[in-house]
Amino acid sequence: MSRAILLRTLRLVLTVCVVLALAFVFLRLTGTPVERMFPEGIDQETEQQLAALWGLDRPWLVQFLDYVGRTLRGDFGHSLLSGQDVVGMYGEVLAPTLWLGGLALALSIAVGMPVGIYSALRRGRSVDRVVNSLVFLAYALPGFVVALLLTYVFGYQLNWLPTIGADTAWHYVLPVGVLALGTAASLARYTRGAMLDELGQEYIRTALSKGLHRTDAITRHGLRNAMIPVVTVIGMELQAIVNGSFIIETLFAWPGVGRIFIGAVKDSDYPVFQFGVLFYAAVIVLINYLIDLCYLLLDPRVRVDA
Amino acid sequence: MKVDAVVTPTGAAPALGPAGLQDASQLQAARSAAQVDMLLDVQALQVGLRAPGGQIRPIVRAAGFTVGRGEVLALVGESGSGKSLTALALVRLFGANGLDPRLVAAGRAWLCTRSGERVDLLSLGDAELQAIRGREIGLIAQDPMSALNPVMRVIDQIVEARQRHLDETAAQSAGQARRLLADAGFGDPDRVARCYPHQLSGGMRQRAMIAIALAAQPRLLIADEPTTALDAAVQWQVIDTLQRLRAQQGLSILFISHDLGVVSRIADRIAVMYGGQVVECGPAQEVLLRPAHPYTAALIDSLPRMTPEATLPRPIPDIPADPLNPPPGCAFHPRCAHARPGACTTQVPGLTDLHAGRMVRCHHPLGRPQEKAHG
Amino acid sequence: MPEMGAITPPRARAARGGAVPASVLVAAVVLALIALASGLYAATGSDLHNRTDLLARLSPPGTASTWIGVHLAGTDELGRDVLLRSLMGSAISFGVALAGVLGGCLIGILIGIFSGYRGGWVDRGLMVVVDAQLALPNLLLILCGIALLGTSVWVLIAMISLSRWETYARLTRSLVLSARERDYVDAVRAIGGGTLRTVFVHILPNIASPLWVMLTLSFPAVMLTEAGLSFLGVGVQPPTPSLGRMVAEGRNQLVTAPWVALVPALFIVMITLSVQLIGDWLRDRADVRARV
Repeated sequence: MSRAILLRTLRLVLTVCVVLALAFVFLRLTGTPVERMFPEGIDQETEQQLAALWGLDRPWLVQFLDYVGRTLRGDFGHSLLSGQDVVGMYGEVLAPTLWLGGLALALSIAVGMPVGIYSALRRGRSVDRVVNSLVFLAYALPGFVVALLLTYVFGYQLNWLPTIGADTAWHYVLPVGVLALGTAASLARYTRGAMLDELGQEYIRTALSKGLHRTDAITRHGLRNAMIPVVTVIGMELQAIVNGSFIIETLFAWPGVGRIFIGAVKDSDYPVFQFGVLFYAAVIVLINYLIDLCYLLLDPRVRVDA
Repeated sequence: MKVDAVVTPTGAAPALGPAGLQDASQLQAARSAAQVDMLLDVQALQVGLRAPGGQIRPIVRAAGFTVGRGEVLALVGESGSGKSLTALALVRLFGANGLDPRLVAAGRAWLCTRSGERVDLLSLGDAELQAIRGREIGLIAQDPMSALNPVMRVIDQIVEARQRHLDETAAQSAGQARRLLADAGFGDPDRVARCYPHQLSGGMRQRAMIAIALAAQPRLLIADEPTTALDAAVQWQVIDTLQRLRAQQGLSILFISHDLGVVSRIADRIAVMYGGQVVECGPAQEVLLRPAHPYTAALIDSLPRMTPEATLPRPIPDIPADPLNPPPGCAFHPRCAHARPGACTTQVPGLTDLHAGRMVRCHHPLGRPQEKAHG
Repeated sequence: MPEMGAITPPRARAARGGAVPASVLVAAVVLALIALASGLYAATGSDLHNRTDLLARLSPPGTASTWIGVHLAGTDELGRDVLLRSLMGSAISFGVALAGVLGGCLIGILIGIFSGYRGGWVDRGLMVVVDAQLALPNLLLILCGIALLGTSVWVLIAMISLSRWETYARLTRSLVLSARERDYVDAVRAIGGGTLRTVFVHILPNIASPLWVMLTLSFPAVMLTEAGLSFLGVGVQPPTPSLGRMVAEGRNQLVTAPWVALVPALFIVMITLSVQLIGDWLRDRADVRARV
C-alpha cells in the first residue's frame, strides 16, 4: 500500500512539473505579447526596447531556466499592463476562491450523495420520480441562468440575500449554493446509479444470509462498494466546479482569482495569466491526488500488495 | 390445495394409499413418532411469482422433504425445476440480492432449533427470520466471486457473522474465524484470513464462503449449486471439505445440484424435482441404481459413462416443463417414454409411498409389479 | 439487423410506434419556432436590432414604440429592442455552437480514423492526450486558447471544437478498430484492395446513427459554453450581439429593468432545454433500437 502511495505522489510531482513546462511553452509559441498589445503596430525600436525590458529577446532555453528558477523562488513576474507584482495581485484573492470552491464541493457531496442514496432505496416510488425530475432540471439549466434567477428573486425582489462581493457569511449563500447545484444534481444521479448497481449484487444476499438486518446489509456492504465509483465522479465534478467558478465569480462580483484571471485573458497579460493557470492546475492536480488516495483506501483491488 | 405427504426414511413408514394423504394434520400425527431425528421437515412448500397485476402464479407446488441430523439431502433437477427456489424459500432470500419482492412462499417448513423448539420458517416475521439466518441455517451460493463482498477481508466477513449472533469479543471472533478457516481445509488460515476475495482462487473462495456460512455454527447448510462454477479438479476439494465438516460436526446439508455425479458422491438421500414438484425421493443409492420415476431414469441415462460396455448417453427429448405453465396431468408426460393415455395426461399424480422410505409421484412408477393400466 | 421472425420486446414496439412524449413535442415546437424566427431575422441582414433610441431606453415589455409598433420584450439601456437582439443573438449563438460541434465532430472523426488505422504508438499517444485533456476543465483550456490567440469568432469556434473532439474520436476509433478486425478486410486485401478504403466503407454507414445522437447531446453543452464565454466577455465581441453577453450587460440593470437580462436568459434556457429533451429521447430510442 505504501508503495502505491509513493507512486501516486511521484506522479503528482511529475504532473506539476509538466504543467509548468507546458505553460511556459505555450506562451512563447504564439508570438510576443507586443503584437497583441499594439495591434496597430509600433516602430521597430520601441518593440525591441520593450522586448529587452521583458526579457523576451533571449534564447528560449535561457528564458525557460530563468523562469524555473524564479518560480522556485516564488517570483512570478510582474503584470505587463500595470507592472504590479503578480503574486501580490493574487495574494488576497486566493482565499475567497478557495473557500467558494471548497464549500461548493462540500455542499454538493453533503446534499447530492444522500439524495442519490435515498432515491435508490425508494426506487420507482413517487419520491424517486420527483427527485429525478428535479435533478434533470438542475442538471440541464445553465449555472448562470439559475444564478441570475435566484439573484433576482432572493436578492432583489425579496431582498433576503446580498448579491455582490464577499464581505459577510450571508454573501456566501447564493454563490456557493448555485455553484453546488449542478454538481449536487450530478452526484445524486451517479450515486443513485451506483447504489442500484450494488444493491443488485449477490453479496447482499450473502450478508442477509448471515442474519444481518436489511439496513446493515445495505449500508455496511452495498454503500461501501457504491462509494468507489462515486468518488471517481467527485473528481470529475471538480472540473465542473472550476468551470462554474469563473461564471459565478463574475456574476456575483466575487473578489476572487477568476476576476483577475479573466482580465488577464482579455488583455493577454501573460505573467498574470500564467499564474492563474498554475493556480487552477495545482488545485485540480492536488485534489485529484487526494481522491486517488481515497480510492486506494476504498478499493483493495486497486492496491498492488506485496 | 392438495397436500402431499412425505414420510421420513427412519422409523416405520405408515402405509399410504396410492393417492397419498389429503390432510396435513393426519400427516402430523403420523410423523410425531419419527420427529426426534429430524432437523428440517418441509411440508407442502409452495413458491409463487407475484405478477404485476397482483395475482400470484405458482412455480413450486407442494414440495415436501425432510433432512435429518448429520444427513445430506440432495435436491436434484434441471434448470427451471424449482429446486433453488425451494431451498431459498426456507430462508426467504429470493433473487440475486435476496430481496426480490415478487416471490412468495407458503406452506410449512419446520425447523428444529438448537434450543429444541420447532419453528415454522415460512410463518416467521423478519426479525425472527434474521435470528435464524446464519445461526440455525447457513447459505452458500453458486458463484463465490460475486457472492463475496469484494472490499472486505475474509476474516472480517466471518467475524461479522459471529458478532451478529454470538456474544464474544472481536478478538475471540477473530480467533474462531481462523479456526473455521482451518476446518475448511486451508493450510495457512492466517494468510487467507487477511486476503480479499479477489486474491483467492475459485476453489479457495468457495471454501472461504463455507467458512463464512458456518461462522455462527448453524446446524443446517443450504448449498446452492456450490460446485457448478468450479473446475472439475477443484470441485472435489469442496465436496471433501463438506463431507469432513459433516463427519466432524454433524452438519446437515441441503445440497442443490443438477450434477448427478457430484450428488452421488455426497448425498445420503436424493429428492428429484421436475416442473416445480418433488417427483421422487429416497436413499441415494436406491434412487440412482433403481429409479422409480421415468424422469430420474431418463436423467441417469442421459449421463455419459466411462465403462466399456456403456451405451451412448440418451438425452431427454424436448425442453423441461415451464413450472409456470406445466402441461395438464403429469408434468413429465410429454417427454416420458412410459406415458400412457389416461391418468398420465389428465391427472396430476400424488406422491406415493413405495417402500423403505421411497416416495414417487407417478401413475406408473418403474419397477412396480403391476403392468396393467388402472382405470 | 433483426433476424426474420425475431420477437421484438414490447418496449421497442412502443417506441417505434411513435409514442413521442409530450415534453419532447413541446420542446420540438419551441425549438422550431425560435430557430425559424431567429434564422429568418438573421437572413434578412437587417440592422434593426442595433437601432438605438435613447428616449425609449429601459422601457418595459409592451411599451409602444416609435418604429416597431410595440417592444414585445422591452428595450435595453441604449433603447434597442430586446426581442430583436435576442433573436439575433440566438442566431449567432446557434451558429457558433453549431460550427463548434460540427468542427469538433470533423476533427474527432479524422483523428479517430487516423488513430485507429495507424494503431501502435500513434494510437496510444493520442489516447494519452485525450486523457490529459479530459482531466482539465474545458473552460480553463478554452480560456488559455483565447488568451494566446485572441478573441475573434474563428478562435472561439476553433477552441470550442477542440474541447469537444474526443467523444467523436473515440467512437470513430472503435469503429475503425472493429472494422480492421473483420475477415473481409483480409479478403479485400488479398485481392489487392486497400484497407483504408474498406475501413471508410465500413464506417460511414455505421456512424450516422450514433453521430446524430451525439451531436444533439453535446449541442446544449456547447451552446452553454459559448454563452458562458460571452458572458465573461471573452466570447463573441461587440457589436455582434450574443445571448451570453446580453445577460452580462443586463445584470447591471437587474433591479430596475430585469427584462434586459432575463429575456436573453430565457432564450438560452428554452434552446438548451429543448435540445436536451430531444437529445435524451433520441438516445433512448437509439438504445432500444440497438437492443432489437
